[in-house]
Amino acid sequence: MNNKLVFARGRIVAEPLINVDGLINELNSNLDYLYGLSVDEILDHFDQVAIQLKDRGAGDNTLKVFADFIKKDNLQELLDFSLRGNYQVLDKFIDFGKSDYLYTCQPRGLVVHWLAGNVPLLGLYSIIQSMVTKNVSLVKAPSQGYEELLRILELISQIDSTSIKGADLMKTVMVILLDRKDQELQNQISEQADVRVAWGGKEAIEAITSLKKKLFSEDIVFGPKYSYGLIDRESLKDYRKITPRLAFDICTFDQYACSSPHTIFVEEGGEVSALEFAEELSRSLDFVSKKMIPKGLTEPNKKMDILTIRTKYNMTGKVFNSSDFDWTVVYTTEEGLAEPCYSRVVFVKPINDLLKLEQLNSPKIQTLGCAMGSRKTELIRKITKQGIDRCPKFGDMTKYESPWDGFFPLDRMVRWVKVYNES
Amino acid sequence: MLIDQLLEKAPFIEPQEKNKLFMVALKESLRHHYANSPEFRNFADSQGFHPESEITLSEAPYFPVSMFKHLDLITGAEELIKKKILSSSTSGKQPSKIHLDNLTINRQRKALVSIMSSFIGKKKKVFIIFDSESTIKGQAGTLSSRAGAIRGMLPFAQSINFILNQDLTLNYDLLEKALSKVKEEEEVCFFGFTWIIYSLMLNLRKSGDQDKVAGFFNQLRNKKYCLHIGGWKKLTDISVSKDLFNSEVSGFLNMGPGKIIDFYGMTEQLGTVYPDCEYGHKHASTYSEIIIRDLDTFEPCPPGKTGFIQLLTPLPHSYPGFSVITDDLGEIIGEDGCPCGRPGKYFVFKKRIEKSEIKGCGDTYEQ
Repeated sequence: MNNKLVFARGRIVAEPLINVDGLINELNSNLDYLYGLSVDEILDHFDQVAIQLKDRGAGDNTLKVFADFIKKDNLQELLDFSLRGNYQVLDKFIDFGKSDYLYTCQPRGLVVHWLAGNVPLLGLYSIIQSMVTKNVSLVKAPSQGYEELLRILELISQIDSTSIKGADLMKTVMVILLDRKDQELQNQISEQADVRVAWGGKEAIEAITSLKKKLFSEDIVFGPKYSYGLIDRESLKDYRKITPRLAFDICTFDQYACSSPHTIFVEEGGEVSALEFAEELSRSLDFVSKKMIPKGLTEPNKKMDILTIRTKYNMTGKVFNSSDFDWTVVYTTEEGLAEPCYSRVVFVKPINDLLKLEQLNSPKIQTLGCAMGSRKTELIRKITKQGIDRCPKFGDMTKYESPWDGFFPLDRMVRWVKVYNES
Repeated sequence: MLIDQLLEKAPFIEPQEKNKLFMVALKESLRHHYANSPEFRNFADSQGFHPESEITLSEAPYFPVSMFKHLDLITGAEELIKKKILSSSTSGKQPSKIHLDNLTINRQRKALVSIMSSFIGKKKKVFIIFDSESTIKGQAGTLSSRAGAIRGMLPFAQSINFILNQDLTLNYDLLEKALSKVKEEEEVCFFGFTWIIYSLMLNLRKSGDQDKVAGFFNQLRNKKYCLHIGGWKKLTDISVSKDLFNSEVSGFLNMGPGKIIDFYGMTEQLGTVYPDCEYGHKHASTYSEIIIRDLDTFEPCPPGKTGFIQLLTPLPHSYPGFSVITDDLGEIIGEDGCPCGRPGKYFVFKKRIEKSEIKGCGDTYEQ
């Protein structure tokens, strides 16, 4: 693969990557521009971008989810929660009522993002977070599947708001393709990063974090994680409301995201059995796949994986599936977490004792999608001791939030400064 | 039994006769497995298939060959199982486990002898095996697929000579001993797993010993064939094509490239093997059938189109291995038209399908 610059100055480009230092200097020269914008101006801008993205991307679920993310109320809430309760700390010193000091946040500078091959669009979320904290971004995209990311970045750069021209703002982002074996260039960009954001699997994360780095640079690691779901007895009375939301979680990103569910535990003794729940889920998956989030191309080898799963569980359990390879619901009494197949293949399992879930959890588990009644907080407190970072309701599993992976990424993108307060 | 009647036939017969006999034998096999394999019955029921229904060959139920990695599939009484064969698992995480009763062993052996005789003749040969003798020693009724393949050659062997150490390096003493025993009039046949033969040759080349060893092989006058089996995955990974393999190995063994015969076959359907004919084609024998299935729709493909290889045979009695689809890609070249004269479908193996490089985050599951 040739090293390439594929997005710069607000446009998709295709230039050989010759002078990386020059590009980084160009990016860093935009720090002052970003610094000169107020956080409200940036948030207002993204709010207007969100409206236009929704208009332009009607029917595009990924774009819709992303547009919801960049709406002002969402970003402001994320910033507030991440930055000790007042997002304006990004513009000025704030009195948090703590001792004799005022506090402000400074951008760290250059954020280098290494995006994952499975879901490169997730990189948009770390890019936006870098921008609202007034950092510039150099993005190393994966060699496959990055085109959609560029298309969205270019779309954003074409949208102007009252006080910001999209093209100007997007000058703070560059995207490059880089041979993963090109250690020299990988080290070159890594060494200049003030923040390193690494998305990817175990191998990728280990390779990225072992690159040379500045002594005081910050690492934000979004590593490989597994997610699953739980419906307790009480909640099963609403099972028909739960399955469409769960189907949405399964179809978004085709289960390739860390937050996508692969196994669903259904507590025994409720209004419906796990088997009946599986059947209802299959109807919802059929609806969501046909009407809301059509599935893209499924590779032949993935079809063979799906055929294998379907055959195995037609022999030993029960399978509900589409007539093609769009979706598959497996009902099985096998214990534990199912090995992920991806591509809209989900395993539904009965469970009699929810406390057994504690044994399944480890730092590898990210999201537990939930539908729980009165025991929710008590049980979640118990079973998240060893792992699980978030327990959203179904329908929100793949919605990017903060904290994510158990920490506040926005907080890691800024440097806190305090000044004594004489008042 | 109809299946055993089929086995009495010559290895390659006219399609008109074969098709009729084969379908009857296959249906007998389907009935047997439906009645005696709960897993197959569950599967068949889920697909709305009943063994008494009228079906064409392509309508016979099939399942991925990897199923034998996931499940211990046994048809009938477990106490009748005499041997368990484990696949070499070059590309998978766990091996296939194939349970054989005496009837299956005998049928598969008979098919193997019949098919191989069509390619290498009936005269017994001195076999020089590129493997270690320890390989064929199974443990408590369990045998590796390599051991199974070597044992499958015994009916053709006047003598068997292993020439590798346990670590698969060349044992010069064994080689010299083996060569010294060969009489001038005796026919010699080399046999081994594809990647073992090639990696041995590469290692000898690296150590500067290739010419010396080739000199040993040069002493043999009556070299008939080099039969190799086991698949191409490891060689494809290092960009070694069949042509390159044939050319280099024929140089190494000092025999014409046309005498290097690649077998296609699988642990899940032992006996029904597919050696290359002299025109580089593989032929479906009387005892098995091939269907190529479309990569997207899984519908049967016409000749000339590449797809997944599905193989059918009524021979397995103790496990439901009568119709499996592989992740190997192949193409049917035609029917009855191969210049070698063997009737029936003939095909080529293309490659094993590549696994997607894109992985999901959930792969942390296995780490």
